[in-house]
Amino acid sequence: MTRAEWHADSERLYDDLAAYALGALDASETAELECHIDECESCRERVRSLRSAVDLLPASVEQRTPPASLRENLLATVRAEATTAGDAAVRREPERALWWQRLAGLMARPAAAMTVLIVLTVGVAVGYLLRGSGEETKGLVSAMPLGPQAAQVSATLERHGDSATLHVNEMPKLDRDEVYAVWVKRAGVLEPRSTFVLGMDGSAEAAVPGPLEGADAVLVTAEPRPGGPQPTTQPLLEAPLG
Amino acid sequence: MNPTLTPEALQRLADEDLMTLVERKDADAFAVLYDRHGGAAYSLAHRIVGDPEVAEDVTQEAFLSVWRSGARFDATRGSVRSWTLGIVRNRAIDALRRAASSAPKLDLDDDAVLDTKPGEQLTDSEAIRRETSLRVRGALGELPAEQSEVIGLAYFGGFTHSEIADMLGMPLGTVKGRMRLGLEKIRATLAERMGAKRSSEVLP
Ligand SMILES: [Zn+2]
Repeated sequence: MTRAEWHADSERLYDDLAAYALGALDASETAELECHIDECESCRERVRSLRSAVDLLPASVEQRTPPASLRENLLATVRAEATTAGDAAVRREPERALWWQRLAGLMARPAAAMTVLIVLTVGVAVGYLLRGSGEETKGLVSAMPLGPQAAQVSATLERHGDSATLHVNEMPKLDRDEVYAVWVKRAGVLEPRSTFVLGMDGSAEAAVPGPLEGADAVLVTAEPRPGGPQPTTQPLLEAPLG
Repeated sequence: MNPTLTPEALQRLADEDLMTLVERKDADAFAVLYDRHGGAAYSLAHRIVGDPEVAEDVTQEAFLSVWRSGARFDATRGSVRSWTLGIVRNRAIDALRRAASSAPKLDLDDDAVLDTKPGEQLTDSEAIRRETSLRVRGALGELPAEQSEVIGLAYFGGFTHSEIADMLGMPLGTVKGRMRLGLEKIRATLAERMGAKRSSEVLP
């Protein structure tokens, strides 16, 4: 439809814009209307104005105090990811100490056990990463890109004893609802190990917690968040072990 | 990185500046954002899913998504707060739909904008948050029930306009018209009172 056709029935269009601002159109209607909004400044302005009303709706609900466990779990996950995301090199000593102190505090709580487990396994690999180059590194292998989407990916797997760090570059961008998942292949079975997302430049460093002893390869797939017990897509990368 | 930023300095940053740090994976900046908006986010999730544990999961998922996809925040399209609460709302509606497919339980008479409860012991910022909430609720309470009903079903219930039309036995056009009238009224009466951004703008 042209702009004039959209605006021919302006009352109806304005009603649609209100439903759109509220998130009450179905997916195809939303997509159709967005095509027009993208090209129409007056409709964009109208949506902005309606959104200012929608933005007030959350404040109308009964205000509650979130449980402390929510903040603790969130920050534990975020700090672990901040460190694995390649900032390890620039994180300062006192912060790292704090991070471990927080972790120690968390471990006292059974409710947070799951998170602690994840943080710990990531933390172990990060510990290796922080140790710096060379030391205790048993080997560096190239990972093979699988399939055309991964053609330009370059990746290496850095082994440290019984865990490893995967370095990837120029990985295909993920959709909003996806993560990359790291798997360890052992006797034909894929075991989930960790997940990661890309930096803005398409690179990432992912922890591959052990055990790696007796395993055949490390693989990477793209998965719907938050990742599951089994891969749902074809692997993009494979790094042989052993 | 900003190795020189103290916690006090982070507290003074605007949300948009904190987001820039969050995009660079600054966990301390993220903690400040959570402390500013986590309460509102959890309250919204709780309102939508009606269960404290699911609300906690939903809020956690939403904030992790902010952390992991901060680069997708676009300051020209709205505030960090409304972007974050939009993510919370979407995740909560998803959770609601998953739950509804096994055990539907949605009370149509549950009027989102009118339920009130006295607070217990509150910190200062929580007290302000609750006071704001009461003011917004008061203003929304002035809406004709037919308008707040369709707005509540869409925003808190996650229903599309055609589902609402079916539910209430009304033509589609009527449902959308009520949404528009209600939103325009909220904008007109509340945006000014709350000192919200862009409140002085006039519709084209
Ligand atoms: Zn238009």
